Amino acid sequence: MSSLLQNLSSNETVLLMYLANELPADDRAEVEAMLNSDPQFGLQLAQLRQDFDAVNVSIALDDARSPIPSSFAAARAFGDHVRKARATQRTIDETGPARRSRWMLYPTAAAAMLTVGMLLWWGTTRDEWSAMPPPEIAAIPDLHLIDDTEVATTSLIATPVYAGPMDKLNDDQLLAMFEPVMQPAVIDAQYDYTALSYINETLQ
Amino acid sequence: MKASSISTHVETDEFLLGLIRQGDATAGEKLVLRYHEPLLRYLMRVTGKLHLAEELQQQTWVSVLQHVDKFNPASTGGGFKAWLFRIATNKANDLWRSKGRERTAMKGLTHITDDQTSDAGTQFQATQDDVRVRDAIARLPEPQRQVLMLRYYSGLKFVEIADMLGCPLNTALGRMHKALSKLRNMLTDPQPATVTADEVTQ
Repeated sequence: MSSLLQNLSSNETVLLMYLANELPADDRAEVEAMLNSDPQFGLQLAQLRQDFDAVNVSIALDDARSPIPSSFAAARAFGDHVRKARATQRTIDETGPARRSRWMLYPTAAAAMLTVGMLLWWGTTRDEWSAMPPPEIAAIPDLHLIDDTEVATTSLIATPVYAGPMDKLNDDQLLAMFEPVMQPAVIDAQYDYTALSYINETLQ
Repeated sequence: MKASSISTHVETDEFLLGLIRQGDATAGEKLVLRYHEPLLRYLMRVTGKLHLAEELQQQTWVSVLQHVDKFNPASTGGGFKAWLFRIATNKANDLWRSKGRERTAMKGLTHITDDQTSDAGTQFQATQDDVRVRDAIARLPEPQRQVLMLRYYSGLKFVEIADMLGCPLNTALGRMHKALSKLRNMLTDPQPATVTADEVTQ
């Protein structure tokens, strides 16, 4: 038995599929063999065919006696819908790209404004950042805060007890500084506290 | 006239749909003319009212137009016809559900039923035979009537109908068989057949 017949749950469903001519050739042949060998199955088919035909005829007669509205009105109404849809689409096509390009300006302008704003903010706050030492630097005793000009031109020294420009210390102070650590870090400062932070970490 | 000059071009549904996508109103009208009668009669049988059927038919075509770009004949068994009847069936089911809610809301307030209400829009020339057939079909449980009418008016295969209704093939065939048996009984026996609650959902 083929797969479709196996999937049909009853004689009635098999016969309906047979009557409707929706069975594959192999299945159809199999049903015909069953019809030849089983008279009861043949009677079932005859009854079903009679029902099928009777209903089809009844509906056809009923339809024939029951006029329906002309199809032209419905066709014209649908044609109007298609025309309207086309007109709408044309409007979108004509005005859409310009609108789209204007809309595209908004995110671009917003991004540009954000970038400019961030640059301005960064530029104005950069000095504030530089003026504020990081906590680990600020915690160093006797920390001597220097301005950018000094940093740029002065050698810095940092020990566990002092971090600052070397030229602010006299010789005794320098010697005292050098005693606790064998290799104090002395570097040429750059512009900000990164240098101090670095030497401080190095010494610790 | 040369044989080669005779146009053998057949405007398939899918071809017309392609033209509709490009905004060809004439193609739309041709498609409506092609399916007007079976679709409207199907909806009349399902709803029982001409004015409702006309409204649903219009909604169906509007829906076709709205979703014409999404229609894919390769993924729809039965092609455009199946798609069209599927949309119409969904519209009818929506109406059926809303009518059910309406009926529930009206229950206890009135004894006037749809059957007792005269339908001015119906243009049936009612004879006794007409009424019997129509009434017998109308008394079928909705799922059975749907399969019977889809088969009759759309001519779709049972496999396609089952797919459209989202039920197994055996279920669709079972509904068809029950519908045929009931109609035979109702048309031969003047007593109205009793419909059980189970059958309504089958």
